[in-house]
Amino acid sequence: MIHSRLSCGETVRALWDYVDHALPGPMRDAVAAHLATCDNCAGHVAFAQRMLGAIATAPVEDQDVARLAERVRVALRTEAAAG
Amino acid sequence: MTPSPETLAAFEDVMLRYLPDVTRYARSLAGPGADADDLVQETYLDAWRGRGTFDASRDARKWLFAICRHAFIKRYRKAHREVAVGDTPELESYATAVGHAAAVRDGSAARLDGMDLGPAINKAMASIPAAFREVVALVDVGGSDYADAAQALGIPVGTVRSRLFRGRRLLQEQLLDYARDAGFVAPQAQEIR
Repeated sequence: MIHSRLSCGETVRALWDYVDHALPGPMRDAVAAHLATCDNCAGHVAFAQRMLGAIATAPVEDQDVARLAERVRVALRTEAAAG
Repeated sequence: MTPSPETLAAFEDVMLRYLPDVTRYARSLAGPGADADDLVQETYLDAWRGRGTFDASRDARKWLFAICRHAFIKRYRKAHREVAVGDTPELESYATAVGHAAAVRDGSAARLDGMDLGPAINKAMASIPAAFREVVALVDVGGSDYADAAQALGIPVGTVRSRLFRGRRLLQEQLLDYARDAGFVAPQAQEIR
């Protein structure tokens, strides 16, 4: 049974599963209810989400993209010419 | 039969748009350096060879990611990925929050609010052990869910969660160290009750 009121400890143990939308409905609701009333835990979740956003969009240098584009084009033309 | 130059140009026109995304994904999987560059090239060559299977109504980026993931696992992933993490993903979550709470107290979390995390993330991704990085790459860069990542790596879902959460905690530690270095803030411990 999932208690409707979670402690901060119980909530942050579920932090990553919550952020990943991997919790079952009742637990997800209980975490959401805690976050709605706890600025500290909400702050942990907000930071976690910001970090995941940064991981997903980490910059790739333009010069690296240009270099790799040229390398890939050469490889593709060689492959295409070989039939 | 040799494909026409128009066929190749059309392929390049569509697929090379996603080169920055594929590069980010390859680097996160293989780590920075020559292996990642080779993986990018092999991804595009495999995509070219398999272009007949591509449905133009599908998401080309996801298609390239799937090819990149396959190439990584078949050719680049080292066989020895046994790491002692323990089956404690919830404790990794807890430790992540404890680390952030300490950063709130010492001001480094606030310092990160005004920073571009991108360069620090790249540096941090390059520094964490490969067994953790590859799971972070699959889930957080490639968009796989736990079950997909487990299937791709041939490990249980519980192990994916343990490695993923440990990897994220290590990344967070690196980011907070980055903020502390920038502000010369000393870390402090804090409990969560």
